[in-house]
Amino acid sequence: MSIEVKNLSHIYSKGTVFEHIALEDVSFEVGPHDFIGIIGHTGSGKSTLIQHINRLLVPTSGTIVVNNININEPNVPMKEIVKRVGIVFQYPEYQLFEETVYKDVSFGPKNLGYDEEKVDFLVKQSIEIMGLDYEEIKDKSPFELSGGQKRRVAIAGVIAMKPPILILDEPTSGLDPMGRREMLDMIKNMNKQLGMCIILVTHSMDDVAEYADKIMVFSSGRLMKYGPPAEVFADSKFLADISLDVPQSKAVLERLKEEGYEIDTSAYTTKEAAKEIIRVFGK
Amino acid sequence: MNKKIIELRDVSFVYDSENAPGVKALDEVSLDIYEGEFVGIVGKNGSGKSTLAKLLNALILPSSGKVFVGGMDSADPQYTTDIRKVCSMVFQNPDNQMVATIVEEDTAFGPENLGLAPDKIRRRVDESLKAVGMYDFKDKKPHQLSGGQKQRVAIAGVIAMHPQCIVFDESTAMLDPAGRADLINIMHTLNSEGVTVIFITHYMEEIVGASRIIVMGDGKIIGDGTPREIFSNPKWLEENRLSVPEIVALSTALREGGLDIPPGILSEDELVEALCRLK
Amino acid sequence: MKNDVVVGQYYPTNSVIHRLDPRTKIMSTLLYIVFLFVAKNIWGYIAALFFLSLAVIVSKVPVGYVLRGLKGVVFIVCMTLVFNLIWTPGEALLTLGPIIITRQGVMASINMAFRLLLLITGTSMMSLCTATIALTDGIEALIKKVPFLGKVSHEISMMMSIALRFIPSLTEELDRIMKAQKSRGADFESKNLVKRIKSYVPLLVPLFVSAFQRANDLAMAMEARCYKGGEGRTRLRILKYQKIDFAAYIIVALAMGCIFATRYIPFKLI
Repeated sequence: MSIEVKNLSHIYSKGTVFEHIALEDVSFEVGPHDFIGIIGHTGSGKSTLIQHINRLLVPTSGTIVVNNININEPNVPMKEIVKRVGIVFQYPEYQLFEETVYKDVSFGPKNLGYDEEKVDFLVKQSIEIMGLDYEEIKDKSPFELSGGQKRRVAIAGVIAMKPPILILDEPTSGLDPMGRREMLDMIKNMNKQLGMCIILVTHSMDDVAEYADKIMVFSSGRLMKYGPPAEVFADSKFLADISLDVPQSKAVLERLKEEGYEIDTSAYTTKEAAKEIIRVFGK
Repeated sequence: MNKKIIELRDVSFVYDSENAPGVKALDEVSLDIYEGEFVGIVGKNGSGKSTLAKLLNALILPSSGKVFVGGMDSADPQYTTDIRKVCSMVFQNPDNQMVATIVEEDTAFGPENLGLAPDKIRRRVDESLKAVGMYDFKDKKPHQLSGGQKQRVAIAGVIAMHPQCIVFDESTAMLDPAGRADLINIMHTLNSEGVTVIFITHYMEEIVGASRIIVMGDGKIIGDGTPREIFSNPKWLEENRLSVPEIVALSTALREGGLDIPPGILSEDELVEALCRLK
Repeated sequence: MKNDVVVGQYYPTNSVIHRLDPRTKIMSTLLYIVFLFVAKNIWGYIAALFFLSLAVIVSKVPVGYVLRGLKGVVFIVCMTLVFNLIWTPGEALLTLGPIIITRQGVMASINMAFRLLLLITGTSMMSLCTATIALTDGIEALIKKVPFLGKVSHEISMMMSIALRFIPSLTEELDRIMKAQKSRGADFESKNLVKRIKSYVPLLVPLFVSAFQRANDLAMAMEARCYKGGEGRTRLRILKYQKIDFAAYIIVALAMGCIFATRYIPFKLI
């Protein structure tokens, strides 16, 4: 297993009037090549959770094992953790700081102490993974790029450290519809072609439905459901209870079923749902 | 036809960026917007939407061409304040548009600038905060609010100035789905009370309820029509880096699969109804 | 809220002091500070302490909160004490090797310690009893009366208010950037001073970029809401002295009179 979280709880400002339970008894395992989608409302504990996976936060109780290392053991250096887990925060373009794209992307690998040749290789590779032209962009200032390019450079700066596990928090926010699709396709590619374990935090049901192999649903600091999309979306009443929507295509299938049609409601992507509706309503 | 509230005549806007002088953000755009409309504006990143928005509020002035707001020429400095009174604006980042350290003080900011009497300001502050459902939060500090609540306060600050038209410049982009839905509800309520709404967004499903959609591409208006008309052409939208709402995509797939449902379906209800009519 | 950054330290109660006009509170505090320096001996400080305690009781702010303000300055107070104690020349009381403790030194450090402690608790009382917004309003109104500053009083108070408004946002932002750079292997705890200073570049550059972006956004939002500076601007809240303010001024004057009178009470410690 790539990540093993056991009985993780996190309480902010414990013992004061501001005490707030952000995570409560969360346990799960993630495989080395999984594509996990995490959904839940603002304040459901998602972002607290991801910060635990590379020790930005320390659990109040519970253990986190990443690639067989218990990351909260006192003798584990931070470098060993960031080598294994990369985090792309929301609006990552706000962490750019160097004069050139090359220098900015090389910040991570240099911090890991790699030699120049290796840094060079990693920077080039990660800029290309992000669909940018290395030669054209490497000497530009990151601040003169377009919004979408900045975002890609910022993500390149994280994957340049070659983490086998990559966590992304809302990587598509603020992008235009095509930009969103391109970004998600790129992430899917990292998972399928490069074998990276992806954890995608998002508000979009349609995105997790289409891209994730497994979905975690968080609500009030608890992991409510964890399984393949079909399984998670099967219980639409439960999702409605914690005021999350099912993907729209699935909602249509369920409406048709309510109307009395003999229809299979298990599909959750547009394509699959269309197939099922045509099967029932076509001649 | 209602009265024209906004009129753009051959408007271009050129600016110098660091590495390229003379970038044309808007290229001879002409556009009329009428009182009471709910206009959605979409377009890929960098298509000129935000530039267009800022022109409507005299925050920037056209490089060439004319912008009239409520009949007033935006280039004439004597009208600047009046234009901003007619046409107000809610921005993208909820955190960067609150001026004061307390909610109600922030709502009062606009009316204070207009030089209204204190008792009148008080009335407007209370009624505006009630209109967006934030009256109970009037003594809160900005950092005690969620993103969606901050945006509602921003709207209160704007409606306290009694504008005839409000431009929402990607005001939902940084919110979660619940916050977004709230904001859109408020927009529709305001619109039903007669306020002209101009709403710039990247989320196609948010403007299904608009009365008109304008599509921007490379500084020009490349599409202008009702949601039905605009969303009936998914391929063309995709070519312009846009998309259609999920329901439209599903309906299109069904029509392509040979089902006899009408074109231009926009909502779940319409689709279910059309399907039920088949069998 | 997990990151409830408190700026200022307003402690809301319904006390008379809370209801006073902010100008009354600011002026009283200023007077109080002046009289701390007018006071010459321990009787003066005891009088000041007495009136301050009275204010604390009336304000209904828990004593713990009032004293919390002292925590941050204990070190500074101790340092001043030590310096005064060993570096004041005069009549030697005690000789410890090269260090000579003088009578004047002891007196000076007692004076200093009392003054500092009373000054800090006094001002923190003001901020505990006055909401930040009232404070900036009060300062604006008072500055207006100052001949040289009157013209820019609005600008000064606007600047203060915006600074207060954005401190929590920028603190949060800094935290976010720090976490992002830590995730890229940045080390902010290096023992080597040069390395450590260098390690702040990846924090400060994004923070400045973001601060400028915010300033730009805010300026735009203010302009869009018809802001044209202080001229022609009215206020939701207008400061108006009430009867309790006049009463407060009289009480403060009497108190100051008492402190002044203590100058004439003879005092000799050693």
